[in-house]
Amino acid sequence: MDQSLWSDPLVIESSRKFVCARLATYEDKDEGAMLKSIYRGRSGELDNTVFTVLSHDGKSRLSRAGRSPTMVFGGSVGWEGTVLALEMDRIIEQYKVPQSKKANTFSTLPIAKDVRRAVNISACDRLPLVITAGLNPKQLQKLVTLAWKEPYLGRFNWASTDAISELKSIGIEKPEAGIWVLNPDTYGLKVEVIAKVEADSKTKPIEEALAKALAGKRPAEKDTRRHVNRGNATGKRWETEIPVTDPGIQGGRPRRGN
Amino acid sequence: MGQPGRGSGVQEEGKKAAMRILRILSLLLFLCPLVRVDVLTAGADAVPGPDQEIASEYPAGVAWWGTWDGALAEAKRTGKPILLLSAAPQCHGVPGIW
Repeated sequence: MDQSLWSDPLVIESSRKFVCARLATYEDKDEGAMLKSIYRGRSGELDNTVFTVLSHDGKSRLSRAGRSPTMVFGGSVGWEGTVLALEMDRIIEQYKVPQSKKANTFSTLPIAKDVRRAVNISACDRLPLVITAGLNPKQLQKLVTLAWKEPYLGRFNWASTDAISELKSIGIEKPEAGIWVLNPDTYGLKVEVIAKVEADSKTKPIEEALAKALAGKRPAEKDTRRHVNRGNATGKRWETEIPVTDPGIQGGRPRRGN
Repeated sequence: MGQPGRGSGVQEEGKKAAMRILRILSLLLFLCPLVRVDVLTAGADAVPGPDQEIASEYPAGVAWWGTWDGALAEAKRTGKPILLLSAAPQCHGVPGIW
């Protein structure tokens, strides 16, 4: 996934007019089947990456499907972000949003499938992660309001669990209910605690915890080949939910030039 | 008669050049203790190692929904179209990289 494309300011601005779904390929059987129905690689199987634009009910395609926005919309080197943003704006102009819909409010946290995957995805994104553990709906709603406003919007990954013991598996020594603000390790297997706020906290301490995370240093960009080689050498392995069918990222060591 | 004169002139020039070099070296020796060690070693610190973090702000980013069910429910509720992307959070079985 080309992360530079998704950090383009024009793309980020245009993205606010969409519901942006980024699924983790090979991490959910049902999502895998859905993605495969949208786009298959040359092998006829599910590729590592899939991209398309869909109507709000998910039934109609508003663009072609492909491995990436560049494959779908084109754009010469250095202009991919601009082309993507222009295409997104064009789609929005033509799209008729039903008037009855509530486009200016948010209902839930944009959570990952589970805690384990949230930590991994945060490591991929090099972003801090917020895990809510054992929060009731009212307490969660307070976080929903924060998650969708500046300066937190798009700067955190989110996960939610009612199984407090799940926190132990990601390296939290004393798991308990509350709001955990965390940094993932390089390989997205364990976390470092930045701050922990009580579940029934008021908004201010939560915002202070989030601000503390954003005041920290962002990990450096990763070099894929070096990351994979070191991961292999140090036994950092990941088990997917469904088999990886893209020959480019299947198990084993990276090929030369990959 | 001009030859010996030219020779002594060359010697004089040599002496002056040697004195200039001595003066520069003395000045450098005098200044050396005044240069802070951390300035001399700053270059080494400025180059991040492979796993070393570099100072950076967290820039604004796309706000992603992490599951299809969550995204679809939100799209149905708001009427916004869905920008759908999928990527594997591992490469060759190693996690932590798209």
